Amino acid sequence: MKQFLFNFLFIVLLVPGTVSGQEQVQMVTQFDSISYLFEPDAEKVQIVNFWATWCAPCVRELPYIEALHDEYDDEEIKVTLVSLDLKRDREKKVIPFLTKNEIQSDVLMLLDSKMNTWIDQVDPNWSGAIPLTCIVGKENYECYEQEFHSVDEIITLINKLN
Amino acid sequence: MKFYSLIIGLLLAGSCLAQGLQVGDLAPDFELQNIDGSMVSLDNYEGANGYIIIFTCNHCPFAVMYEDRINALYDKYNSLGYQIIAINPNDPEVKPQDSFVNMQIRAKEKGFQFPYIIDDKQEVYPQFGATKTPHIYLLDQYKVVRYIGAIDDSARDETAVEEKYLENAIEALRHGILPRPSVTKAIGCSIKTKS
Repeated sequence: MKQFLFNFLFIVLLVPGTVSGQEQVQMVTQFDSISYLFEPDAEKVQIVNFWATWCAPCVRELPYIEALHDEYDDEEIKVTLVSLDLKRDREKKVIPFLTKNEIQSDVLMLLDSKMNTWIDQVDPNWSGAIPLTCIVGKENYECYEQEFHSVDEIITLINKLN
Repeated sequence: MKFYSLIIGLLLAGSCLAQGLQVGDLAPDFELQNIDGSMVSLDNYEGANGYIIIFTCNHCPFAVMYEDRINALYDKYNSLGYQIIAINPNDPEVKPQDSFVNMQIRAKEKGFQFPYIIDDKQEVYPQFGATKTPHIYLLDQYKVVRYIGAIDDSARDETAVEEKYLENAIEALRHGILPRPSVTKAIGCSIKTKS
């Protein structure tokens, strides 16, 4: 019984804490497996933000991207943060960063090194510099190679697209 | 009417600047300070078989990942007449890690044997059209742009490199043929400016 209680407490108290951070950051080795993020959806708007913990403008604008997740239901606006950090920095930098900044949006780490191929798949006009934010509307999507300075800036672009 | 043509003129000028150099364009010369204090221009290397212009910096992880590979390119191609010139386009007030002194320190640490110059007025990178670090422009002996883009197809994992774009482009020039692909893309850090 004691053992059972111990196990029970262990599972309840410790496991969710450790697992949620890990589960939050899925690693993706092929761009193709996330290309669905760019498929227009009549029901909702999707925001795909390319960022990295080492990218200062990305980190600066992240609160505005995260605010979209906070303020809107996933059924209305779905936010996905695509991290371009190194694989080895997942535990050391990415997860601590997300925990510290209380990021709740979905986070993927894109480890596909064949950038010359997938950069053009995202947007042929993208130079490859980050941050890049794509707004996927009902029929098409637009990407913006810039740093945002407010939520309103993004909302304006969402309205423009739909 | 004059007013409108002025606006159209400005728009055209703006769009040309924004686009920068394309493959086939003649690269503009520049005069920028090297970490040893000397001034560096393309003209300093009259007689070179080609020029490897690398917009790079200290702070960007994707630039750092390529430092050893750039040194290897120097070892292979400097003696063959291909001059590497590294240019830091970032405003050090925005990124103190990219200051002139820190460039000197980093170059010494990594044993750079090529010029590492600073675009201190940030006037050169827009003429080239560089948008990020690292960003490569390979010029032929006539200073005509022959290749723009990445060093290879795998920044984060050198062991996974399948195509050495820049090296293939240099080899193409050495054999008198045009590089294919002539433009490639890679992830990098945006160039840091105050605006």
